Amino acid sequence: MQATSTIDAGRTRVRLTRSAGLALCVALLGVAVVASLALGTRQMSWLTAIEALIAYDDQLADHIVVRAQRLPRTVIGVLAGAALGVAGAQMQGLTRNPLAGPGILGINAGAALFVAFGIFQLGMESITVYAWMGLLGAAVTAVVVYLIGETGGRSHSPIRLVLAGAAMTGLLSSATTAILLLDVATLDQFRFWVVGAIAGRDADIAKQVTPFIVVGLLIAAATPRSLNAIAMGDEVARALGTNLGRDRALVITSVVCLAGAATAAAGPIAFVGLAVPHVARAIAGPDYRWIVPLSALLGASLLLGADVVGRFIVQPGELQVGIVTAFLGAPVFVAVARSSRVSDL
Amino acid sequence: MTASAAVAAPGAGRAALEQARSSRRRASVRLTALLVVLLCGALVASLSLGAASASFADLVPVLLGDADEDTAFVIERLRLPRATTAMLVGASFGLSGALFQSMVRNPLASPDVIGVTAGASAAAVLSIALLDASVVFVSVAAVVGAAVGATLTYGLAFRRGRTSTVRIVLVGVGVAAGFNALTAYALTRADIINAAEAQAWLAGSLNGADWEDVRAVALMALFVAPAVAIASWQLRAIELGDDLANLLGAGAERSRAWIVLAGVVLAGGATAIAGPVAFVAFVSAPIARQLARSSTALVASALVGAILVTSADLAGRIVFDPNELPVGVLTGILGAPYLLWLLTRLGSISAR
Repeated sequence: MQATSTIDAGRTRVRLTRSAGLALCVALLGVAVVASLALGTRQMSWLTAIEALIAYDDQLADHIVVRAQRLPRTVIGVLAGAALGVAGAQMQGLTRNPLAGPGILGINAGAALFVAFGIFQLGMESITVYAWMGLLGAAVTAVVVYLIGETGGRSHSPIRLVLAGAAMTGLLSSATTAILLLDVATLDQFRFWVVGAIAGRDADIAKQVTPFIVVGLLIAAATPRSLNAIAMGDEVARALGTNLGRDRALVITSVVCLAGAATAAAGPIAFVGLAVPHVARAIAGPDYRWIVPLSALLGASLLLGADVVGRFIVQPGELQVGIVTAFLGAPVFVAVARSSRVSDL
Repeated sequence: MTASAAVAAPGAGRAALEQARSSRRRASVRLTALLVVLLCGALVASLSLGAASASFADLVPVLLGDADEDTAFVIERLRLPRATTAMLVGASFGLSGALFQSMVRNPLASPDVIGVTAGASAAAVLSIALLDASVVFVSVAAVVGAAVGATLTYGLAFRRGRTSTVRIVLVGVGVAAGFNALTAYALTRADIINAAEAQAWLAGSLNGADWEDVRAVALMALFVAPAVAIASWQLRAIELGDDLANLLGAGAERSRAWIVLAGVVLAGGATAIAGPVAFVAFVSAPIARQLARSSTALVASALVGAILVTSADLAGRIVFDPNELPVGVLTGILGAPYLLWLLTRLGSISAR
């Protein structure tokens, strides 16, 4: 009797922590969205910003700024942040490796190489073209890594995938470096893409990447149970009736859609996908049905919050979101890592 | 009859165990010998190939001391120090990667897991990009950066007087992210000439390596040798996890401190000399483990690192002649396909 009530009390506490965490993350994201719409070089009240969305008046300069500039970049920030958070959580779950992130399939390196090549050989200059190039590079690389990591060799092991991804990253980064060293003009454009930014992204890019992210999120919503099973080890997962090959392929498809689209829209931002799932795990425990949505909310809040802060640090001009994300996120993440709640996978 | 079988069984088991052990030992000696031969081959090739006229046939007179002045200069002053530096730097990266990967029991680990490379890179790039610093200053900055990165990570991983593997790994991720952001910031703020120079440093290069560099790396190796010896001694216990290591009397905390010290000095020193030569620290240990089919292969990792960097530097010098690609570009291009090939070929993969 005593034991049962203790367990019940424990369960209630876990449920409370999770619900409170979820509510807090939703609130955080709400604040970040409103701040992203209202704050910047052109100051306005948050009421004006919201008005611009629901009662648009094309005579008002404030409304035009919100609709034309801040809304697309806010949408991209939310989508890319959520995508990176979810992709990171899925990769860590799939490989059972706390050092895995969305980039572990070679996605960032592939996108970077294609963009560098596009600037160097094809003379590309617009961010929209970079986005397509990045998406293509991410997809091609991920397929190659998947083929080597999942289907090569005689027996399956998550380590094979992890090593294949890391080796591919090394190979492609070397090629990128070679291009950058050969041509200073390419470096001059590439260095601003590679830090990661969502400034100056227009509605076209948002429209371009949204379908990929939506598909990725839909698949991600269907897979947390498989990730929970995989977390217990391949044998146990199989014994529980999980179709491992199919589920792994699904998760990887989702990660490629999410991380590829996020990288295409915002550049290779590694830290969000690596760090956010650990914070989500510290809040919610080892259950991926909670980790995945929390990672989405936290990733979006972090990226958007960093973007807003970046508008004010360096005047005039802006600090790129990729840099601010790490500057703001790293101390928080270190603090979380030092807390006793953080756990191994 | 049954009694005698029962008596015989343990003896037979022990004999089989002995046999398995000695065959493994023989295999590891064979592998080491093979790697040493390969390394010697890479060294000889580095000394005899290149733009200048010195060739393989010139090596012997140079070593005997009766070669003409030009040939002697090319080999003794240019190629020999460069090849020696390549070998030592490669061995240092390979060894430090193997130490860290074994310690944190994660094949994705590298010296960067403790913030060494990120710290060194940030300091070096800041001093190149914003201060327009000299080569020596950049090297010193890199050493300081590596020390700061490692101290921050290791220090912040302490909680109530103890570290843990997970905390080191995660704190390292955070610290490295902070430093990498600093590097990216410096690269976007610098004017393009300095940015290009910083990018070249980040690729890692042995261009212009001289006897001074050899002396520096050798000194570092001498200094770090005792720590490596102690670390390798305790690595097997640490690999079993903290609780078991403590149970075995290995003292997990103290062992970890030795391993961190050895790995940081190796990686930091090598980075200061050659820049963060991409990929060597990560790739050497997995290749060595695949070849040795054992969980820790420190000697083999060091040799693989040395072979990789020596041959990558050689390839960078001669393949694109008269241009030269820095060693860090070639290490990835040579090392990665080999690891990928190993991955598709071999059935079993050892985790550490």
